[in-house]
Amino acid sequence: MIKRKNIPLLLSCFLLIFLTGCWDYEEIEERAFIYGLAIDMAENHSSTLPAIKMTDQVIVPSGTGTSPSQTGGGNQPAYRNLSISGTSLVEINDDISKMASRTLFSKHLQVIIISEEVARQPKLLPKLLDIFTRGQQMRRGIKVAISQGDASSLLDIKPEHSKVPAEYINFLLENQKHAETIKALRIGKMQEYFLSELSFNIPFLYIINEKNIENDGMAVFNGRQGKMIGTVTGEEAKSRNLVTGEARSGNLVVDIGDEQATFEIKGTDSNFRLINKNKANPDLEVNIEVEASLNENFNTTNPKNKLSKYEKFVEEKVRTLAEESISKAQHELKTDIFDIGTYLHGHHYPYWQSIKADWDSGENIFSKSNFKVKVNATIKHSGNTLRSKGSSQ
Amino acid sequence: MKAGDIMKRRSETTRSTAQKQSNKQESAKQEFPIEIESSLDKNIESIKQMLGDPQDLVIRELTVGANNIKGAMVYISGLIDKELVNNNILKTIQMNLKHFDTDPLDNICQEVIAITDINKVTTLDKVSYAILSGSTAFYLEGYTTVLVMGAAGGESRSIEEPPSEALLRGPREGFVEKIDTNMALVRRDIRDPNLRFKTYEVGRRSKQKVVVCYVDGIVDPALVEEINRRLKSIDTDYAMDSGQIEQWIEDSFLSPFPQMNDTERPDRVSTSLLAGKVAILVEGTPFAIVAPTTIADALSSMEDYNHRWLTGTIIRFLRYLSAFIAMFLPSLYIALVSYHPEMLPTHLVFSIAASREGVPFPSVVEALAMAITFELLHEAGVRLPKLIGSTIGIVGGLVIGEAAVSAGVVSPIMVIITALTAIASFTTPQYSVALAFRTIRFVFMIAAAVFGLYGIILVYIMVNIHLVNLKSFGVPYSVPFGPVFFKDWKDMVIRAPIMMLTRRPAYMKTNDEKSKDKDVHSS
Amino acid sequence: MKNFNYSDENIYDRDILIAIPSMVIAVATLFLPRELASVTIALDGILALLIGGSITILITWMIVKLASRFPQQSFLTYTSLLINKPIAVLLTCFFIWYGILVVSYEVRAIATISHLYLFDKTPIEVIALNFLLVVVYAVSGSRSAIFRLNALFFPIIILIAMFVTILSFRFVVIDNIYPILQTDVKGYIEATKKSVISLSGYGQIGFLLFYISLIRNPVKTPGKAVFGMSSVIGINLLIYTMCITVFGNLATSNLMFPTIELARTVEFPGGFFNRFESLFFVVWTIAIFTTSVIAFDAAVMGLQSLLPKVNKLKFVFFLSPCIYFLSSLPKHSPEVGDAGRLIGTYGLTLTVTVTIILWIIYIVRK
Repeated sequence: MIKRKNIPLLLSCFLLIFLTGCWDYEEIEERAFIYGLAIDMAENHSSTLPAIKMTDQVIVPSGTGTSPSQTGGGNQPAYRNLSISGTSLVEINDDISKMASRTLFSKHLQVIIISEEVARQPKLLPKLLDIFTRGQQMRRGIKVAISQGDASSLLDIKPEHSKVPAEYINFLLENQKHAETIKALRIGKMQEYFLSELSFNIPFLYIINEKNIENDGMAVFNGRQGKMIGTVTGEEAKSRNLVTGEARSGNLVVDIGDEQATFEIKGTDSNFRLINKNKANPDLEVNIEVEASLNENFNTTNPKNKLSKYEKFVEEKVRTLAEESISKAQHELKTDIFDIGTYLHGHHYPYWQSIKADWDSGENIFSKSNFKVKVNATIKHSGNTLRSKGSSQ
Repeated sequence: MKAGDIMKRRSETTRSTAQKQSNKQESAKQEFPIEIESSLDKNIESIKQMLGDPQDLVIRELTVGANNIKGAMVYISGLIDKELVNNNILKTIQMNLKHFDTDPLDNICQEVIAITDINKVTTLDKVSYAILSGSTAFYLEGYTTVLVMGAAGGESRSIEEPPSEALLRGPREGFVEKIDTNMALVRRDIRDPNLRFKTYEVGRRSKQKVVVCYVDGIVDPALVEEINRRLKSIDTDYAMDSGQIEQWIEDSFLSPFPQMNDTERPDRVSTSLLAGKVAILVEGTPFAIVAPTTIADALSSMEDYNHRWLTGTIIRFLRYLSAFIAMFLPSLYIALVSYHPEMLPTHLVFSIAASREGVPFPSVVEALAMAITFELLHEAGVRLPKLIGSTIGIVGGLVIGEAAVSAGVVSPIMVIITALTAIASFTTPQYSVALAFRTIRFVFMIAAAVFGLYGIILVYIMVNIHLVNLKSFGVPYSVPFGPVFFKDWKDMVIRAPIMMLTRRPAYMKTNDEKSKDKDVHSS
Repeated sequence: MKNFNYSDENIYDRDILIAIPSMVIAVATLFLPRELASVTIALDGILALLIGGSITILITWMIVKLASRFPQQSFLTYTSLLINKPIAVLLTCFFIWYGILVVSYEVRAIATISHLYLFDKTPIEVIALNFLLVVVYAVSGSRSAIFRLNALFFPIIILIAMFVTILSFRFVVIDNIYPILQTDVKGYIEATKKSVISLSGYGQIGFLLFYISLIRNPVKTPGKAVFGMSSVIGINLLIYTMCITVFGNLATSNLMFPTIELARTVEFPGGFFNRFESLFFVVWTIAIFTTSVIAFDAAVMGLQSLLPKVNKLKFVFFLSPCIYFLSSLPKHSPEVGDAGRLIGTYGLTLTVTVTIILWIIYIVRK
C-alpha cells in the first residue's frame, strides 16, 4: 500500500506526464503510407557522384475504394507518385516529405524496384539498401526486384484489377510459382548475401504494355563485385531452378522419338557434392531429382508401360538444360547463380575459407570448376487417357 | 517492520478508538434502563410516549381470568401477522385464561399461548425494540414483566427468479428481502448439521439482522473470526443493502474491484459455503455477500457447472476473451490507429484511414465520446421504467449507429468497436466486476492516447500490481494465478470434468480438503 | 482493519521457480543471439549456451543450497554468522549498490530500446520516468506481492516467446545451421563467458541469497531453482536457434537486437495484427519490468536488513531519484551497452565470489 499522503504526489507526477505527452501521436489519416518505392539513376549523374532518383508511391486511402461512405471515390486515383533526385535516399525522402501534405510512413512499404542501371553500378546497391535494414521503420520482409529500364515507370502503369501499381507488383512477386521465375527476394535475405559477399539473383520485371508487367527470368548479382552482372531469361531461369531444386512447377517439352511430349514438373530436389578439393578447378557433382507427370503426349504409343523409357528421356532433357545453364553461368556470367557458395560454406568450411575470395571473382574458381550432372526422374502418372487419338496398335 | 503493517496498525487504532467511543455511548444509554412498572396505564402511557403515539400502534385492552385482571396487547399493525395474533394469541388468552392459580404470566407462557417464539422482558427499551421488530407485547396489570411474542408478518415479496443473475439452466429461485426466508433457502440446499448461522445486529438505529453463514468443519475458523471482527466495526445508522456492509468490511476502499461477491442466488451461496467461504446475509436485501473472492471468481458463472465440462470450459474462455475486449479494445484501437499502424494488415490500414478521412476529431476524442455516449445510454436504460427503456435502445442505436456515421462525426469502425466493447462488457456474470472493467477501460484509453501500446502495457502492469497487493479477507486477489495454485486451475481457470473437481480450493486452506470421495466415482 | 494475514510475507518454493526466469530474462535476452553469433560459426553457439547454462545452473544451485541452509535468516544474519558483521555489512552494501545499478541499467535500456522501436519524438527521459514510476509502485507494495506479480506475468512472457518461435518456423532456412562445429576453442570460451553473464541475468541470481529467507521451509527449493534456471536456458536456446536459422549467422551478428528483429520478421497472415513486433516488444517490457522490480526490491531489502527501523517506503523514495539520475548518465546507446557489460561483470563476479567464499567457510566451519 502506498502511503496515503503520497497519493496526490504520485498522481500529479502521472498527470504531468500525461498532460505533456502525445509526442508521437499521429492520426492514421494524417500519415502517407508508402507502398512501393522505385530507385533510378538521376538524369544528370556523373560517375564520381552517382545521383539517385527515388520515387515513392504513396497511398491515397479515400481512392482505394475500401470505404463505403465515400461517394465517387472510384474516380479518384488511389495513389500518388512523388519523385526527387539526390545523393542519399534519406535525404531524398526528406525532400519528398516536403511535397507530401502528410507525414511519410514507410512501415507498410512492400516493394522496392531498382532499375537495371542502378544495379549495374559497382558497389552502389549495397550502400543504397543500407537504409532499408538500418532504419527503424523498415522491415526485413520488403521485396526487392530489378526492372528493365526505368523503375519509376513500373509504378505508373494502370493494372486492371488493382488500383495501386505497387500492390500489383507485390502480388506478382509474391504469388509467382512459375518455374521461369525465382522466388521473391526479401531485403533481409539480401543483407545476408551482402554480408557474406555471395552472389545471388533478383526477380526481374519488365513492362509488357501499359496495363501489365511480367515477372520473367532474373537479374544476376555478383556479391564480390557488388554489382549486377547480367540477366537470365525465363527459359534459362527454369534450368537454373532445376539445378538448385527450386522448380516447383513448369513444363518440360521432351522429344520422344519423333514426336514430342510435355511433362509437368511436380517437384525437384537437388544437392551438390564436392568431389575433390582442388583449389584451381574443383570437381562438383550435382544430383537432381525430378518428379513429373505426363500432361500432353503426341506419341501414339500407350505410355503406360513405357514410363521408364520416358523417364530416361526426361532425365536426358533435364541434364541438357542443367548443363546449358551451368555453362552459361560459368562462361558468360562468370557468377555463381546456384548458391553453391552457401553449400561450400556450410559443408566444407575450411576449404571455403581458403577459396571464398576467388570463388566467382578474381581467379574465378567457379568458372573453372568441373560439374558432373546426375539426374534421376520419376514420372508419377501418365494422365487419364491411355492412348492418344489416332494411334495404331 | 513493514511499512504496510504500520499503516494497517495505525488505521486499526483509529478505528478501534472510534469503536470504543460508540460503545461508550451505547453503554451510557443502557446504564439506566427504564424498568417496567406494575401499573398497566403507566406502562401503556410510557410505551406510547416512547414511540410517539403513532397511528399504527395498536393497543388492545382486555381482561384476563376470573379476577378480571386488566391486560393489554401492544403491536404495530403493519408488522404482524394478523391471523396469527388473532387466532393464536388473542383467542387462546381469552378462552383459556379463565382460572389460574399460579403466576398468570408463567401460565400463559407455558400452557396457553400457541406460539413458539415467546420471551419475558422487563425493560422498556427491550419492549419497544420487540414491538418495532414485529412482536406483540402483552402487559398485565400488576406485573413488571412483559411477554413478547414473535408473530412477525406483514407484506413481503415472494421468491422470484433473480433478475440480476439469470441463468438458462439452474435453479430459478432468488433471495428475497426477508432474512428468514433467505436462511431457509440456504438450509434447503445444505442439510448439513454443521451449517452455522451467526446473527449480528448492525445499524445503530435500524438494528438490522446480519447473518454470517458458514459450514463448520470446512471453513477456516480464522476467517470467521476475522469477519466477526470486521462486522463489529461497522458504525452506521442504517445499511440499506449488503453493498454498504460490503464497503464497511472490505480490505481496500481505493480499489475499483469488488472484494466480495454479491449474489442473489442461493445456489451460488451454497456452493461457496461448501468451498469453505463465508456468506453474509443482510436483512432487508436480496443480495448476499460471499467472501473471500478472487479474480477468477469474477468471471465464472454458476451455469458453467450445470453444462458439460467441455462447453462449460469453452464458454468460460469466451468470457475471458470478452473481459479482454471490454477492457482493451477501445484503447487498442487508439494505440494502433494513432501510434502503431504498422501492426494492422495493410489493407485494413487503408480502409481505416479512408473511413477516418473527414472525421473532424482525433481518434481519442472519437473513442472517448463514443464510450461516454454508450455509458449514458446504459445508465439511462437502467433508470428508465421498463416500458420506456426499450425506446432508449432504438434512439441509441439510431444515434450512435446511423446518424453519427452519416454525419461524419465518427467513423464506422469506431461504431463497431463501441458496439463490440458494449456487448463484451455485458457478458461478465458479476455486475460489480463489469463496473470495474468499465472504469479501467477509460484509464487504458487515456494511457493509449499518451503513449500508445507502451502506455497500455504500463497501465496493465499497474492494474496487475494493484491486483497482487489487493486481498480479500487475507486471500490474495490474484489467486490462483499468483501465487500459483495449479490444483485450483482445473476449477477456476478451466472447468474440468465434474469427477475431477474433488478438492476444495487450496487457497482457502479449508479444514476438510476433499469435497468428494474419489472411490465413489471410480467404482 | 487488515492485520489479518492468510498468506503472509512468506513465499513458496514454486515462487522461486518463477522468480528466476522473471529476474533473469530481460534486456540481455534481446541481444544474446548477436553476442553468441559474433564469436561462433553458424549454430555452434548452442554448445556454448549449453555449457554456459550448466555453469549457471551450478551457480544457482550453490547459491540456493547455501541460503537454504539458513532458513528464514537474512543474508546479513548468516553472513555475519559465517564471517563477521563488518564484512557482512560490506557485502550487503555491494549487493545494494549492484541492485541499484541493475535497475538503472534496465530503466535506461527499456527507454533506449522503446525509443528505437516504438517512439520517435518522445524523450527518453519521459519513457524512463514512467517506467521507473511503475517500478516504484510495485516495490512499495508488499514483498510477497512481487512474487505473485511474477507468477501473473511469467506465462505471458513464455507465451509470447513461444508465439514468436512458432510463427517464425515458416522463415527457417535449414542451410543456416551449417557448418557444424567449426568454431575454434577461443570462440567457444568467449561465447560461454557471454552466455553465463547473460543467463545469470548479469549476475542477478545473486539476489537469491536474499530471497530464500522468505521461504518458510526451503528443503525442495534448490531443485525448483535449478528447474527455473533450466527454463531460462530453454527459452534462450529456442530464441538463439530461431535467430540463427532465420537470419543466418552473419546477419544475426550484425543485428542490434536479433530477438526483436525475429519478431519483426514474423508475419501473421490473416490476423488482426499481422505483424507484432510492437506487441512483442511491449510484452517484453513486462519481462524487463519484473527484472527491475526484483533488483530494486533486493536493494531495498538489503537496506532494510542494515537499518531495520526505517520505513520501507523511505528507502524506496530515497532510492528512486538516485536510480533515475544513474539511468540518465549514459550519453547514447553504445554507452548503455558498455554500462551493461560493466554491470554484468561486476554482478557476476560479486555473486560468484561471495557464493564460493561463503561455501568454503561454511564447509570449513562444519
